[in-house]
Amino acid sequence: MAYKIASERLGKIGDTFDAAAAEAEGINVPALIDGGFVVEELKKKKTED
Amino acid sequence: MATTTYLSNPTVTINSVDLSDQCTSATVTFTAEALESTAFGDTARKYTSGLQNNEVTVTLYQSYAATETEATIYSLVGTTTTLVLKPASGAVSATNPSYTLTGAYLETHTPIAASLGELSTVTLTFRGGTLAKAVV
Repeated sequence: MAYKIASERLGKIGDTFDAAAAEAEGINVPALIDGGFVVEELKKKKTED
Repeated sequence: MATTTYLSNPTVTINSVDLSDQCTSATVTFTAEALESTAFGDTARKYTSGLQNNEVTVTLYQSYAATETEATIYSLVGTTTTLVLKPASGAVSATNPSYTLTGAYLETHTPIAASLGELSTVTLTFRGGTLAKAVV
């Protein structure tokens, strides 16, 4: 699942947040989601011609 | 020659969230437990290093606003996280080392600790975990 940064306290808003790398560094990713610091990156729907 | 350290602009990140502008004090305690190894024939007590038993204590202004103190801390209770502290905000160097505590456990948080006429603060103690010092 891909996440985007949603708070300047974490980084640049809109940048991709690498949850797997963060977890490897001991970061509690669920707590970041609960606190609204990262949000799920919505996949763009394919549009048919 | 005596030197002094005056912490005016340290950086504190908790769970990757930069809370430096909410922080008023920070203490990193690096402990290697002493295991006694004194034996017959010794004339003084001797110790050897046991497990690390590290601790970081921070005092933060409480804020219930979006992505502030409460949003950072509340979900960390009963879990482990990583904290990074530096004496100053500049680049990491030999004179501005960074201290990273990984796997630190937060047991207690006081979401409401307020007195009339005073700014509310929370004091948090993160215990355990491995401490690493970096100078580059």
